Amino acid sequence: MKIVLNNTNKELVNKVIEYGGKRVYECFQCGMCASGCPVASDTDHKIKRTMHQVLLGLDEQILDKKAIWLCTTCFMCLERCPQNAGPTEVVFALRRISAEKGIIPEAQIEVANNIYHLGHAVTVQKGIKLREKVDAPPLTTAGANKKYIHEIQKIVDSTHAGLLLKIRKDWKPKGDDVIACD
Amino acid sequence: MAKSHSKKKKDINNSPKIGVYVCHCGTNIAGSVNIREVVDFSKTLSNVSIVREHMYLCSEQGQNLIKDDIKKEGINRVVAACCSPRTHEEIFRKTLNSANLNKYLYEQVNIRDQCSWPHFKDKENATKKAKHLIKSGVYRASELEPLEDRKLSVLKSALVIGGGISGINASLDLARSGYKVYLVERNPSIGGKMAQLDKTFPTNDCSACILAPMMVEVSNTPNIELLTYSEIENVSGHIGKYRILVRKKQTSVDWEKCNGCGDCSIVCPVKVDNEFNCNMDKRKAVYIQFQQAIPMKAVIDKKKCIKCKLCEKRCQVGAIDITKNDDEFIEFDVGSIVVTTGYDLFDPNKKAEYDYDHPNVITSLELERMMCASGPTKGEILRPSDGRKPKTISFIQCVGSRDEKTNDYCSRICCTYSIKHARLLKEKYPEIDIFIHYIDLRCFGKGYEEYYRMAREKGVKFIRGRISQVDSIGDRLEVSGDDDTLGEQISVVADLVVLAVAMEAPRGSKKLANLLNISTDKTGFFKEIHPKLKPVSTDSDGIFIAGACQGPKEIPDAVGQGKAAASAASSLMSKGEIDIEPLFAQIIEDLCAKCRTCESLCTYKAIKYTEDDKMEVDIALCKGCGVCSAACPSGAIKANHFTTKQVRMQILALTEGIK
Amino acid sequence: MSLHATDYALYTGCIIPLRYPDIENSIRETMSLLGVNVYDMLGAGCCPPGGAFWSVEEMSGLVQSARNLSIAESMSKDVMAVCNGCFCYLKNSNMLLKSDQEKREKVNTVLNKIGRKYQGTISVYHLVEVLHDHIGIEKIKQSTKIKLDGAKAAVHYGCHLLRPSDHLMAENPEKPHKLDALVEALGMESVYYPKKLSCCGAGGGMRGNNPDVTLRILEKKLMNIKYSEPDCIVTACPFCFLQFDLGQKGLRDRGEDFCIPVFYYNQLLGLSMGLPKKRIASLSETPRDGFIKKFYGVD
Repeated sequence: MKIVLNNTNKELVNKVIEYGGKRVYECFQCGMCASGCPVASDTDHKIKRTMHQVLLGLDEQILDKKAIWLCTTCFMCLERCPQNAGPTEVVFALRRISAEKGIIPEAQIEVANNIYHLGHAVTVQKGIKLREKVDAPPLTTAGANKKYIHEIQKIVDSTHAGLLLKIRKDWKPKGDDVIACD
Repeated sequence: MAKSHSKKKKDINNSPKIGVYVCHCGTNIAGSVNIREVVDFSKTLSNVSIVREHMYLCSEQGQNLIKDDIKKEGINRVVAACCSPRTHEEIFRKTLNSANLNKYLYEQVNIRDQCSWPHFKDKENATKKAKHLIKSGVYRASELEPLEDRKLSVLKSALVIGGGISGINASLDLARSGYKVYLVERNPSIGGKMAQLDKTFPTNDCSACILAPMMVEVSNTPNIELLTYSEIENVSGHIGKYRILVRKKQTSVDWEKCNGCGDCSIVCPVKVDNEFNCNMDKRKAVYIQFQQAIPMKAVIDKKKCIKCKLCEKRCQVGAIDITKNDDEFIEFDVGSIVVTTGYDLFDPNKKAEYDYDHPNVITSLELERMMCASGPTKGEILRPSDGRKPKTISFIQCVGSRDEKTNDYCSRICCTYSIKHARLLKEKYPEIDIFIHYIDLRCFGKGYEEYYRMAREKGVKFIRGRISQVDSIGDRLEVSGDDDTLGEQISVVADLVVLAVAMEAPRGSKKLANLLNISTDKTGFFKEIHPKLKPVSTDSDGIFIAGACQGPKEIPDAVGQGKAAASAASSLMSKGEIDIEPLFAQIIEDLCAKCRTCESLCTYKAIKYTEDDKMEVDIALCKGCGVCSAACPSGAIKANHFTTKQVRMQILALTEGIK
Repeated sequence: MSLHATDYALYTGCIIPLRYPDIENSIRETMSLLGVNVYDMLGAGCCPPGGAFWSVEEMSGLVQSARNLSIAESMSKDVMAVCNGCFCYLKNSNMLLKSDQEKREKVNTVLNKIGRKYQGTISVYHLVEVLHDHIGIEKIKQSTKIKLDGAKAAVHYGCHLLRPSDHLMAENPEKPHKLDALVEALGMESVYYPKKLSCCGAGGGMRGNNPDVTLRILEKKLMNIKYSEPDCIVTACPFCFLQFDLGQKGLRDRGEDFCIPVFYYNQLLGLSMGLPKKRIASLSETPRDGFIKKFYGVD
């Protein structure tokens, strides 16, 4: 498909900068990022192309597709980028912009709800059983006590993450966990 | 003129005792020539008394090997089987000299360029050929005669052709070193292409600000005789003393009187395309080339003048006489010549797909003139079609460069100048969308990479992929291409398309090359004698080249070469005389019948019939090519160092074959 | 001897305490035998990692990290992180908050609501740094009773122990050596394998989002590991551990032949010190008993 480069989203690049991809302008498409990317050959996440698309303002080609959520955040591209353009930071920025548009994958929603309701990224009851099995001392982290979970809920509620990550009061975690709530 | 005669030295009285030295040149030779076999073979040749091999014969150790053999073993002829005499003959001749053996008793056989390199896949035949060549070298060496170098006096004055930034630097450096300089420029003013530029990369200095003071210095330097609006008509003579004939085109303005006030232009009714502004506006038939012109003198364009004489009447100093029609001729002698004739731009009409006919498709130099405060738009960027400000500009790179259909070479400066344009435009008009369509960005110079980075930071969009074509759509232009990173066809609807046109050899360079007896390469640029080691020397001794006439280059390199050429010319002229090789033709008067066959055949016009009924060889002009010697019906011409006997022995060696 | 403190606030994260508590036991017990005291960070929550909160809003990640850091600050102890992700994001947040006053103030406004405050008084270390730099290889060698002579280990550093290096400053990100040195201190050989520093495929939400892709990336990693025919894989990150452990099971379920024993470093250290397998190395989906029997002689 022929791409017309006029009238693209000129604000995209500024927004990416604002949302953390501060050095995206430095990119000169050398391909170092893509060449060491662990997911490039198995997914549609083509980081060199994404960097270029940001510079050209081709937002529909990035944000409407799920590719940016296929990054494992291994930071190999950021580490090796000869221009310090910070491709991983650009991915984070794009995810943030994408989340504002309501695009967010299920796994992110699940992890966020777990953290919000259980204090941890994974469910807690299963963990407590495993701890008993190996004679581990009683759990002392956030998942052990509702008062800590409330602390986390309170601070998360002071940000926009609840909305962006679709955190729900009626969340039902997987397995045998119960939600800590008032 | 030095007379040719040879002095017999004592070493020739001895029968030839030849030392053969075979160089491995690391693996350059030894990798495909069997050195052992070659050494053993060389030992069987007559007159050979010593054969040695060495890893690097040109090293001090290798040279000492030869010296010791001359001193201790009585070797009186040396054959080195190694690389090219072009680079190494001088070194080994000096080796012989320092061992008190006449340096012309040396013969070099090139078993690298002629054996190991071209036949690297066929070791057996490479070795066989090496043996053949060494045999031929040994046979010739047996017949070598000692010769003495000649001295030639050199005038301490130089001609610089072309008054651009390279020529200005060459002239100033030569004048500062005390030489008289004739600076010849075809246009009314010096300054060259640089005078047309607005800003210069990578520091964005104003071009006029850094160039004008140098131009003024040229005009204020008493040692420099400035000949503008002039062209080289003829060149004769030779290194040390060239006779130059310059045609000074008729200006119909007496420059002694003209004070550069410009009143003549104001009254002139004839409007002509202004070349200095790339024909984007008009000048008058009587004009001063540009505001900072040196000399600041008026010129009447004789082809366009209608002879209304309004200017003549207006001129308060009475400098104008439009009846003057004839060109003036000036003749002078110089010791050396520096050629700095610059470049011309590729004609974009040759890439019809980019629609240069359209008013809004312009070249980089046209944009440069627009960006300049003294240019046709006074520094504003406007669409030539309607004078409106463009919203989108596309730069198309490599127009006429890296293209077998036009010029296959890279013009080197276009990447950085387009980046310069894009940056300057973004600084002035941040709202303009700028695309640079490139195939590779070659920002090779000091500070250029940073320059490129800053353009990216300003939001210039770089798209990798050649542009296929430019189409007119309404009052805009559709630029169709490919984006390598996206892997998709793209198009940009632009208001202005800027073609980064290639640098080409300047018009008339072939003609000048013929006048000067120097070579051009297949692209038409003047050819240096060695691309790495002798970048400003030509195959005519005493003539040097610098700047873009040698090949595309940016200002820093052109300045560097101008200075290098000045330095090369200075070192040639500083002693007032030079040694020249005695490899010229010698007339054996007793045998000469004055048939003058030789005179008519000599390409270099080196043989002349003299008033006292003799044929005389001008040893400065003679290249020792041997044409005269071969043609002489009475065998009366001896070509030094390539005597009939020496050549015959070589042929004998090659036809005899090897065991 | 290291000049560093012998007391640390132990930040366990999520996976170790709730999925692999045997690893937690191995860390607590080996550190104790090495003379290092670790203290629980009461109420510590998820770090949180890059996949969810950081991916939608920087501040939402930062406040949670700051909360965790403030717990350690109230204990006046440096943090010892035992998971790469926790290390990376806690250290990154700590650096960011120490250097950016505006962000620090914003974060503290939020923390104030729960009666906490971030002050920037402590540092964050990874367990590997504590073991290698603070305790030292010699002391570790002396502490072991059983040498793993002849065993070959494929060391997996994991991304977030090394990168981004200008934030983490752990060691040369292209040629790390600390975990190799720790493995060799146990008498094992740390073998070369291609693309050693590449990702296991778990992070960034990949394992949750794309079970298929995550296994394909893991498979490539394992093919490279197999190149050197190791007896086991050693890592110091529970998420990489989980990926190797559960991921190999996932690949086996698809009929692939991947069954390389995986250990968290302190599990091997503990076994070498003679600690009981049941408490410190009994939870895994990819069998390890063969390795333990062969090299430790324990059933």
